[in-house]
Order: sequence, then C-alpha cells, then structure tokens
Amino acid sequence: MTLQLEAHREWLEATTLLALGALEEPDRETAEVHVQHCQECQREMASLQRVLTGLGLIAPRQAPAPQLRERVVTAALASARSSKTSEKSFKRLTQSDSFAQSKLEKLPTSPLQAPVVRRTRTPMFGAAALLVLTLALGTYLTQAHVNHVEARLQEASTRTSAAERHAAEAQYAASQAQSVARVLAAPDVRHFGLIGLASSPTAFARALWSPSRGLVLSASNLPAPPSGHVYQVWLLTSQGPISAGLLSLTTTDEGSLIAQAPAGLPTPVGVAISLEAGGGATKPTGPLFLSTTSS
Amino acid sequence: MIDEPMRANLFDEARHSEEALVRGLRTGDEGSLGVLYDRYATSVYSLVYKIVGDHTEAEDVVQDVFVQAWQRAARYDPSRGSLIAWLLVIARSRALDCLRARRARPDRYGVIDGASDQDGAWAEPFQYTAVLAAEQAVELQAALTALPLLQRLALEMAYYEGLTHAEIAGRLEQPLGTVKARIRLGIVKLRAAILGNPP
Repeated sequence: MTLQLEAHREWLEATTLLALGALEEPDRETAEVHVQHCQECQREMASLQRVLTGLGLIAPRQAPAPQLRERVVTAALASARSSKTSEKSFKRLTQSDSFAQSKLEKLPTSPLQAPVVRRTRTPMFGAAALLVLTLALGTYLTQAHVNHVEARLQEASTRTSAAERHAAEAQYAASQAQSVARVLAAPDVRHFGLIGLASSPTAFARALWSPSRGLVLSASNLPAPPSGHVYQVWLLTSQGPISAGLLSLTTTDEGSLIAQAPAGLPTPVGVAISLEAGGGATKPTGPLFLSTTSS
Repeated sequence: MIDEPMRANLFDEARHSEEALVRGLRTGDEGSLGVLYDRYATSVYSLVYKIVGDHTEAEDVVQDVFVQAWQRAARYDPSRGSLIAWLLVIARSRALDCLRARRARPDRYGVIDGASDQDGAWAEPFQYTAVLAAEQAVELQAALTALPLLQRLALEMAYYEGLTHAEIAGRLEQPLGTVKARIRLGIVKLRAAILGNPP
C-alpha cells in the first residue's frame, strides 16, 4: 500500500506539471495516458485547472489601448467573412457542376442518330465541363492562396525589426532571470523583510542579499512616485547607507531591483528604500518608505 | 461581506448573461463579439502582457485570441466552464507560443502564425473551471505572495513563462525532484486557499 501511495504521489506531481504544461516529451504523453485512465488524477486535473484560471485572473491589471478594440473586431469579422466567401464560392462551383450534369441528362436522343455517336458525345461534353470547372476552381484557390501568402509575407516583413528588438529584450530578461537564480541559490544568502513606514504603511518588500552574488529585491504596494522622483534602495552598513540602485517599477505599485555585489562592501545589517528627487542621491535625503525588520 | 444566497444570485445573473452572450456568438451576432471584447479584453490582455511583457506583441496575441474565439465559438461548451476560463486557456496558450517563438532564432519568428502545438489545449478534456469570485482572487493573490519564494518562483516560471520543470530546475539550479515537489506543494497551497481543501 505504501509503495502504491508513493507511486501515485509521483503521478499527482506529474498531473500537476501536465496541467501547467510543464512536462517534456515523452513524460507528457505518458502522463496524459495515465490521466485518461485514472479517475483520481482526472479529478485532480479538474481542481488544478481552477487554480490555474485563478492565476490567469490575478495577473496585474493592464488595460489594452482603446484602438485595439476596433482592430480586433474588424479582424474577427473579416476572418469570418473570408472563410464564408471561400465556402460559398466552392459551393457555387460544385452546384454549377451538378446543374450542368442534370441538364446533360435531359438532352433528347434521336432514334435517327447513331447511338454510338450520341453516347460518346455526352460524356466528352461532361468531361470538358468538369475540366473547365476544375481549372476555374483551381485558379480561384491558387489566387486565394497567393493572396493569403502575400498578406502573410507583409505581416512578417513588418515584424522583422520588432523581432530584433524582442531578441535583445529577451536576452536582457534571460540574463536578469539568471542573476536572480544565482542569488537564490547562493550558499551565503541572507533574507531581509522590509515593512512600510508612515509614508506607505501597507507597502512591503523582500530582499535577498548574497555577498558573493548580489542583491535581489521585490517590493509591492508602493505608491506611485511623484513626477521627477525615484525609489532608491540602500544597504545599511556600519559605514552608513550605501546605494544599491534605483527601484525599477514593473507596474504602478510594484518594483524590483537586481544588483551586483561590489567587492569590499561591508556586511549589510539592513535594507531601506527612500524616495529621492531626480535620478537618485549619494546618500538618503528623501523620506524613507520601507525599512528592514531583519531576519 | 457577501453571503451565500447573495453569491448564488450574483452567479445566476452572471450565468444568464453569459448564456445570452454565448448564443449570440454562436449565431454570428456581431454585437456579441463587441460585448465579448468589452467584457473580457482587460483580463485577457493582463494575462497576455504578464507573459509576453511587450505591448505590441500583447496586442497581436489578444487579437489572435478573440479572432480564434469568434471562429471557434461553436466549440465552446458552457457545461465545462465559464467563458473567461475558456478565453484564458486560449490566451495563455497563444502567449506562450509567442514567448517560445521569441526565444528561438529570429528567422523562426514566423512560427507564431502557424498552428500552435498547444491547439489541443483549446479543446480541454477537463473542466475549464467556474469563474473565480472576487474574494477568491484576493485570497489567491495573498496565498501566492505568502508562498515560500522558491515555490512561488517555480510556479510562476511554469505558469507565466511556460518553462518545463527541467528548464526551471536549470534556472534555479535545483534538482529536478525538488522542483517537482515545490511546484506541487505550491499549487496545493493555492488550491487550499480558494477551495478550502486541506493541503
């Protein structure tokens, strides 16, 4: 029984990863096959889907640009009309074919004409009509395909410069993520919890500091800084506060900072965040918004 | 505080309104398309932007989502879950396609316009899930914030970045088994927060 429970615990882990789409082949296929035959895992999958939808719903609110609405509605209606037009055209051509066939069947036969001639003429006419119709349909489909390919090429060409920009952004994001992971996994990492002060009582932040790998800080519930001001992060040391950098705001009330650890830095005893004018200061001059509670 | 009878009434109203919208979508009513967008565009855009991190790409993906939803309205099965849950499944799938294409070489960018290998996810064999009540969303957010950092990171990397567990293990420099367990623990805690199941 213990072994069975243990084995099924592994299936539940696999089901979780399957629900997230986080399994690689061939594990994904194996897990799918298992779930199809395991009622418990099917129930698990259903309840996990609810959590995953919740994760989708709690993404930080971002309103789309107002002009996107018209673009989306126009594109959707155009795509529907395009597919209906193709269907109608195909139906029209095939109906014409059927119409021609029905007319051929009604052609009167004369007992004075050689039946052999009559029998061969009708199939030849029918075959010719079919050939013409097939060519017409093929031409239409070919032109439609060409139009479609041209449209796609136009889209691709307008995205080329965007792709180059995106590649640079992706490289930057990847290097940032790698820096975070390195700090997280550092053997000398220290954790600091920051609480909001009078200026922002509901704000909070977490900082991970590694003398060998640097600082990762994440802050939430910060009020938007006034125009011309920035949040600056300070490492509190025996030699006084040392700037770690400016908080990068990811949304209106959340910010983060990833910073390298300079050599020879005294061991920080705390972390604080202040509001500074302009591009920051060499020492804290503005009001403190968050400060460490230490861990 | 919303009591149970009030909650039931609110959900009934939402369900009837959604049923009318679904009928309109299936009959090709153009006004329903506008209602669909007005009602859900922000939620869809928020998730897509969270994943792709770029407004231009997010707009492209959102357009794809609503176009596909309009084209495939007949496939939506209300008995399997809410309209927003269906849209978010599509949105996450398309957004992760976009993200994965970006990670690949630029000359493979055109893959975005091709058929997604996640297309099967649009016809989920399981429940899409019921709509999340506002309080549940707050509880979920609080539970996510309260997760130990590595559990939260692993879960967010899987959901918002579409990384596999092997990729997450590489990023966090953690063993594969540890990552699997962390993701499992994290999501079970989140589920307990909104469904009340014991972790």
